[in-house]
Amino acid sequence: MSWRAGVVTVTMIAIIGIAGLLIAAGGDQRLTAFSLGVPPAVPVETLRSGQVVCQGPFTTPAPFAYVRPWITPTTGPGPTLALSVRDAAPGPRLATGTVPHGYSMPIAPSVALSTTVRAGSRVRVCLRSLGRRDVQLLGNNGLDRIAAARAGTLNGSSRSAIALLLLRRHPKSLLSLVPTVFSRASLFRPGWVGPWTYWLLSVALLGAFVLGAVALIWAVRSDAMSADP
Amino acid sequence: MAAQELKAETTRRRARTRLRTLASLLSALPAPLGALLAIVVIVGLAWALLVSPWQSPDETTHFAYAQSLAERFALPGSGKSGLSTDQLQADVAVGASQLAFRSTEIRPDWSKHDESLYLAEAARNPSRSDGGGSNAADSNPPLYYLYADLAYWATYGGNTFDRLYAMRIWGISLLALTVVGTWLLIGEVYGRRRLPQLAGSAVVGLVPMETFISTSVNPDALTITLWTFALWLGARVIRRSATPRDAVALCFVVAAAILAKAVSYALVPAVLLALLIGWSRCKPSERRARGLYCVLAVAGAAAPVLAWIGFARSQGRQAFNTVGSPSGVPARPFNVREFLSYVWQFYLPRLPGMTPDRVTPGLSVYDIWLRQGWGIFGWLEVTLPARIYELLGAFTAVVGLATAGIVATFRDRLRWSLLAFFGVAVVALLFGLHLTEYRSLIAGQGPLLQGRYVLPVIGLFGLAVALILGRLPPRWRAPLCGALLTSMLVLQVLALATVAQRYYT
Repeated sequence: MSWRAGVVTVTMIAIIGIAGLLIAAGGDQRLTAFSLGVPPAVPVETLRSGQVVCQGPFTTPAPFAYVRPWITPTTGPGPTLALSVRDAAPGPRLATGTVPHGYSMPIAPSVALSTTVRAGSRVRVCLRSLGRRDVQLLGNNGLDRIAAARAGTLNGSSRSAIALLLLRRHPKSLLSLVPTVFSRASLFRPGWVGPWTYWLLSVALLGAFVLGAVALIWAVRSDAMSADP
Repeated sequence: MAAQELKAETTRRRARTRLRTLASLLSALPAPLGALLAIVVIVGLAWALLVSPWQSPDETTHFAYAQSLAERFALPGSGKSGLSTDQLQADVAVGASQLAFRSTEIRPDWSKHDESLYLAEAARNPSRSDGGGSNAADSNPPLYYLYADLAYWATYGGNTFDRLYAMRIWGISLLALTVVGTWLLIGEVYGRRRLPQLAGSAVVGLVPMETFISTSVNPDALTITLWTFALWLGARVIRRSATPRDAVALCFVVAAAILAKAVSYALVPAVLLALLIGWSRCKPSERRARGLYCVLAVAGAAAPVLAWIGFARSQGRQAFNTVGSPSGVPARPFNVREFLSYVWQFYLPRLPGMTPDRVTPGLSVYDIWLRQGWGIFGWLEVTLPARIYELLGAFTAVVGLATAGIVATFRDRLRWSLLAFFGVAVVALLFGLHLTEYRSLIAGQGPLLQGRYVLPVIGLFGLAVALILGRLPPRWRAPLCGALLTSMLVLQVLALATVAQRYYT
């Protein structure tokens, strides 16, 4: 029994498998820039005609060009909503967008902004109803101090926040996001873990294929030796 | 001075002896197993670190249990709050509970600013001992949590995430032991044939769900390891006619498994059968002595289990996970016919005249045992592509059918004895699980089975793979073993990428 055929098989499957995964990761397009970590769990605010609500302030860890709120019309088709991203300090609008009227079911639209909001900005996201009918905004009512400091709150309340998903202008592939993934995965970890840990583990995972081939060779040799009289 | 030198020399000599012992232990390790263990450790470390905090089934409550033991030296249930301030603060900071139970689109914003906010809060030393209240895991026995607490205590000075990840990384030892247990099981049943041992153990050590659970804070990790060792020791007891050492080891491993998770009571019938068969195979002249050893081993192993039950009762707590309606009255009475109908519909399409009793939209054996058993991650919301499950289903079916074909050719009594032991273990596990779920259903509490609950018998899957490989023509064995090992590694990378995509993109 020869180990060569086994090693050839390992090599071929490893190459095909890894290439396949890389191609899949290159084609897997991700739009999400980041979220506030606030789930669309319950209605937290009823937005009436002409009323404005603002969520924030929060710091943007990545640039975004679309905002997705969770909206439920309460009395017939929902009104047009004007969405704006404003500097947390009173100042000009950084970007604007619109939720068109006429929706009769709960929606989570991706609202295109007039311009991309940069990473590192301290902002609020505001919604203003331009129609007559009421809509409910979904979010969470039970924020604690840390979560409120992270996501900001709704109109300065102490515990409520609306759910918002912030999206990129152009989707990025999972493959191109690998450095971001490693950087994010090193947060809320033991102090010795950094992005480098995941790079090292990636190399080690590649090395595991080599170790697999080595294990196979040793196993074949061991069986051959024990089979010898 | 001389005394100090003597002391230093003694210390050095002891260190050298320990090193030599370690070296001799390592040299006794078969080289292919050593390489496989290195692979498993790499993969385990990747899982332990990549999965977001508390994003594994019930990890929140299991951590709370372990923390209660570590900080209060008390089982959970008596405290005021389910989670300590220390854990709650970390959970909120990373959005763990929100992430677990809400839209898959929502995730923490992963900003360094958030982390520094948390670190500032953690620096104020929030209370770790104000938890210990009732939680869903508090009827579990304490053995796993004590094991996990070794890592907790080792990183005691760190913050919650230091301790959580230390416990997860410590779980890699259980994963490695499961691989060793499978290797030994295959070696015992099939002889020292390294290729089949490598193939079977690699499949077991690299099933994504197994690596995910073993590197989470979860008593299933220890349960899987102990079941694998129990299956190996049971095979030894049968093959080697119940030597006292094997009988004692088997009984104590089963006792440990019961003290890790109550589902392990399902091992008792199989173990008694193994002891009986092993005893019946020994020479008539040795039967009396070996019978006595077996009885003493059973009694000795029963002692800690009975002590736990007695202690739990004295504390007014459940010694087993129980199901029942909140009012204590089941919504429907237990009905044998209905139970059998439920079991039938779990595995097979519903027959005309059967009351619909399906717990998943599709065939439950596929949705739960197969898909979840191979790998659905997070809080069961992170799935692999559907096509992958179909491939894994086909692979599992081929292994099952080929094994059945091979087993049908068995003629000797020893193999049938081993088969009976393994069969009783599997059937008892499945019967116990289905009975528990049926009782939950009639109590109006809904389905509760999850794929990881069959992982305790994963060693037998490895044994089946080894059995098939060993029956192939010799020239096919190395390529097939290589193909299996590499395919499992590719599957691991795919699963890790899926998890990374869920939490960090």
